Amino acid sequence: MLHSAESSADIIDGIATLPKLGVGLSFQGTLRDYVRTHAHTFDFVEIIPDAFWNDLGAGKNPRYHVSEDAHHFLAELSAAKPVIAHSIGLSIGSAEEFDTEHVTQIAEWQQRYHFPWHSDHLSFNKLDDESGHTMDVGFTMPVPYDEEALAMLIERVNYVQQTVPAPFVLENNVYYFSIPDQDMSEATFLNRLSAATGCGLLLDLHNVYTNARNHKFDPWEFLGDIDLTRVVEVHIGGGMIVDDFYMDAHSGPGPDEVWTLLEEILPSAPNVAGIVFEVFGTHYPSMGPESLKGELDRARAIWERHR
Amino acid sequence: MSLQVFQHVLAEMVMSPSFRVAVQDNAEQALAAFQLAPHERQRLATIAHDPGVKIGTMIHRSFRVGMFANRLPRTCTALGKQGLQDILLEYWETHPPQTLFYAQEAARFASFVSTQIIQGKLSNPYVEAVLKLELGLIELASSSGVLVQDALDIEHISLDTSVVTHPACRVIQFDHDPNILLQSLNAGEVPEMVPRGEYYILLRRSADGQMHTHQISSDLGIVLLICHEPRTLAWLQDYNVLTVDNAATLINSGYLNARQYETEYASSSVNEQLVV
Repeated sequence: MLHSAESSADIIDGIATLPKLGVGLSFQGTLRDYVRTHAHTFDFVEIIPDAFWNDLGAGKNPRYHVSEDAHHFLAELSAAKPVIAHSIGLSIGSAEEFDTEHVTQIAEWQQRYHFPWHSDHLSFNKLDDESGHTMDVGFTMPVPYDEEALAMLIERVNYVQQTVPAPFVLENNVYYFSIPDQDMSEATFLNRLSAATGCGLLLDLHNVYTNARNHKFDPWEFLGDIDLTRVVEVHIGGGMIVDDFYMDAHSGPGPDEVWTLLEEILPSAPNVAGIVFEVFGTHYPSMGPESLKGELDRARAIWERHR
Repeated sequence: MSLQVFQHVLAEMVMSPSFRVAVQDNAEQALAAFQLAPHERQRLATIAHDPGVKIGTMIHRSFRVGMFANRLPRTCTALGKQGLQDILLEYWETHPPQTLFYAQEAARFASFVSTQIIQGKLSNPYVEAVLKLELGLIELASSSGVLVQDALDIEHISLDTSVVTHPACRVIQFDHDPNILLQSLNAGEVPEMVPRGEYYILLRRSADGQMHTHQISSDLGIVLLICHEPRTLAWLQDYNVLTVDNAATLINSGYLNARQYETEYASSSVNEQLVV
């Protein structure tokens, strides 16, 4: 049984007083050179901590192996720019036993690298099979927006916030199939989760755009309902069409529509502390440094207009 | 409990197209074994018809292929685009995901490929040796620590002494020129024509954890390959593989070990000198 939060008031205040970091770059291994040579094009770096450690599995001691090279690189990076963590490994929506060891690991890294905030995805991807192995579906599966799932997540978010001494932020999901007849809309679910726990929201505008395009709704049906004052961070990225679906592939420049959404939501989102541009490492070589710089410059221009 | 079961069934529909089709065709029957609430049963029956689930399957499979491609890149290349696609289709259906660890999943896939070769279901001139090479690299990389160099007095070696290939070494036999083959595979291409012959590649993990590969003579390759299993010097001499004198030289050079060794080692060194 997880602990319940004593009070979320401090956490809510924490979101409002977070440092306004500006424009961030989502780090991938292939971006090492870019990070060194184009440091002036971004204000902070978002890392996927899971990519820096080798997870040997729940119950192993030690469970997480980190190379000296990784720590050395991160120490250098965090000395030069603020670093925030965007994990992919918590699987907070899995109805299986909650992975508290992962939370402890994030807490240790937060203390080591001083993340002003940290985030993960509002989804599930890990399951235990019949023989007890943990398997990974490999992408962010949707959690039903039901009372049952909400109660489970409130308890878990409270646990994360009590364990990691930095605000916790959850990202709205991208989904390619819908769960029918849910108790509430995605926006209501996120609003209630945030209100109940004080957690922040990571508004991935490319996810919103992708969902709206694939499921044929106006993005403002979602954005108009979400409590934008809870948004701490915004993600921008690009995608591609595969088999008649638009994919959140992080494969290049962000579509103009996504940049327009950013321009439109920022005046109503006073607690946004950073805009992060995402490109997968495998797609960066075809995108190239000039195009990446162009996207970061575009983010900066919008940031400066509204902050 | 019900949400947990719902998530498992949902994941199964994403990971297994045949299960999804079964739910499409007859949801009541396909979902009968699962303890689901009525509304969850109805949801899953509806989701089975959603074309977006196929996108989920594609992403899931890309993720799994990424595990193999990351650890067995040259094997994947050697299989060729069509060959890889064919073997993956069978693998997906018979091997549901069990793990999120790259090395374990790569080992499972490698075992499947090996079985296909042994059973004659896979005919590819390069895959067997390339797979062994990549598995050898994974094994050496994951072995922690290094070897205790016992202060073995060479004078005391006798026909009863048991020897084995140094645990920081693996030898792979190739039926095609490995230099041409691996150079091409490293560039992501399957070579059209590779000279046939008998070649041996030594994989070696040095004390600093670095991996080294180089071609060795057939004589040395055969000895080290045979000694992947412990052999007494009497056995090796009877089969004209190695004399006691040559064994002493190989032990001194660090290619062979003359004692049982343990999982955790203290230090290691293997001389580069070829001695046979």
